[in-house]
Amino acid sequence: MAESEPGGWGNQPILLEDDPQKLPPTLRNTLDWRGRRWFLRAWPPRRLLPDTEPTYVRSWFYVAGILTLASLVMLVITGIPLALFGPEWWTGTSVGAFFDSLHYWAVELFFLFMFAHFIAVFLMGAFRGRRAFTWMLGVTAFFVSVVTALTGYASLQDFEAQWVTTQGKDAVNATGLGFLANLLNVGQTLTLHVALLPLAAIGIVGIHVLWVRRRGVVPPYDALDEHLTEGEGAT
Amino acid sequence: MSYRKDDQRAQRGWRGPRVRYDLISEGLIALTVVALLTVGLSAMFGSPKVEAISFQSWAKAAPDDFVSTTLAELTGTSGSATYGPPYTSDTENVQSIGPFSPQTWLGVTTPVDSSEDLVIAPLTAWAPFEAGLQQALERWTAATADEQAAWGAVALDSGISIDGTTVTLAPKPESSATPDASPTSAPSGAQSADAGPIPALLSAMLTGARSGALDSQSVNGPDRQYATDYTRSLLYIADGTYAASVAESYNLLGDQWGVMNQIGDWPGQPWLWWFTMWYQVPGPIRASFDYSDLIVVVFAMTMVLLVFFLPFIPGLRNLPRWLRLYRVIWRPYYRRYGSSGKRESR
Repeated sequence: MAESEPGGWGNQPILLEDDPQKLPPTLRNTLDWRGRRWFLRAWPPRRLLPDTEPTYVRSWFYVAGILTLASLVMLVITGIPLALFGPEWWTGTSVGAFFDSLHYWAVELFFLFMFAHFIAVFLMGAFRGRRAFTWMLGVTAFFVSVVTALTGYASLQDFEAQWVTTQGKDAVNATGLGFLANLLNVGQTLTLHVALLPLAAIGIVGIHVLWVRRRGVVPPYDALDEHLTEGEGAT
Repeated sequence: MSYRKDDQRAQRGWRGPRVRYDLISEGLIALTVVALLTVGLSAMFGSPKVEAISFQSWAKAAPDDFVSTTLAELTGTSGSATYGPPYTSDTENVQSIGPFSPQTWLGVTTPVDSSEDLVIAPLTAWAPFEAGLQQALERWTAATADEQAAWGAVALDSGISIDGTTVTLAPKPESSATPDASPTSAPSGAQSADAGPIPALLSAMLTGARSGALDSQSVNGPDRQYATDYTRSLLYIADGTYAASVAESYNLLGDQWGVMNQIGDWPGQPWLWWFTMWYQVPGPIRASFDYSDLIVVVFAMTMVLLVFFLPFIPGLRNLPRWLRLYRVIWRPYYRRYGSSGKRESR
């Protein structure tokens, strides 16, 4: 990777095309205009899809995050045929069972990479510098993913599903949430697993990624002063 | 350096050296790597498959357990019959920490009448096929609750013997019965008679389970032509010891790291370690907290909240600074440029 000199073009301020002075007065201050302006300020295209990053990003420790995202995409891809053909397909046919295995290994990789990402960003202190919200979104994404995975196991319709649900129900019931999530009702666990929880997980992960792009990758502890701007800003 | 200073420095933008970067390319490469890994691992190892326990497989593999569980359901002494909310209204076995018992807050939301739903309902469906069963069932339903309880007490205090699908109840060789538990004070050798129609009802249930009738009919009720709710049948199966013995053979019990494990050498759900580990805590902590699922949930959720709020918790948020492992992550940067306050040679 080519490295530019300090203060290279990648640090130039990004101009918005949405200058209010250029808009006819009647079009200013609409909610659309405000929303568009907020979004463009938070996520100018070059920040959303950067073509440069600070030099310290060159480390294998940064790879876990994108691998987690890729695993999430893989989970969706392998989950679609399972959702299309249903339980009889994955319990009763060899092709269905193979897709079940693909989904299974995708989730194992997903959590493995997520854990590696968690350890890496923790060791970096990546919650520093107005990045606490990003951190909390990440923890929430983990928790929602765990519940999603549990409902996946509960929907398998094999012995492990029987065992996980009959054991897991006690913890759910103990918290008083039995009315909301009856693990023994496969109609409920399956729809939670293929519809509501993945939507929640993907939504939270999406906002997490947006906030990573918005604030930028946290600078190293004790980064040189001349490498940091005077005021607040993204990296 | 204090966390506040670290935090303020990290709010500043970056004007240092940059490297070429292509997010979409990196994403595509990552997706390719993950896809290859997923396909490779699936082709090599597949995924665990163990058929679900059915009433038929249970009754064939462990008829004693099936019959004694059915007796417990009929007499209202099983785990699910005495569970408390959300299945039953009694509160004897409800989980609580002092007065804190969220299990009871919403009451019974998934009602289960073990005797009626799990035993009497399927037997009622089969009764027209067999006069003997019809008579036994009529005798049971015509009896008062006290009579049923008395029969039940005798049956529960008896030993179960099974010949084919015929269940007989006989006094246990060394009965541990107390006068209270055996209100009819049945004379030795005559307990079967005092258990009323119970042996006949148990025999019919065993016959139905072994033939597969109990599975195909399902205890979920005739009003559920399209059933997705297996609460009742799963509670029934979980009330026995057979499911647990199968689970134990696969190292799936709670004190074997429970639901986190999977059969064989498959990795299971290792992401649940922060929850499952609390079931493994031995000794005084376990004893002093009268270990319940509720305690485990409280401990585990406390961990989650600590991690969630970590950026705001003094001490914890300084851990990365103290561990200094960030120097490994950013070694190339520090080597080339040094660090603020202390320039390092290349």
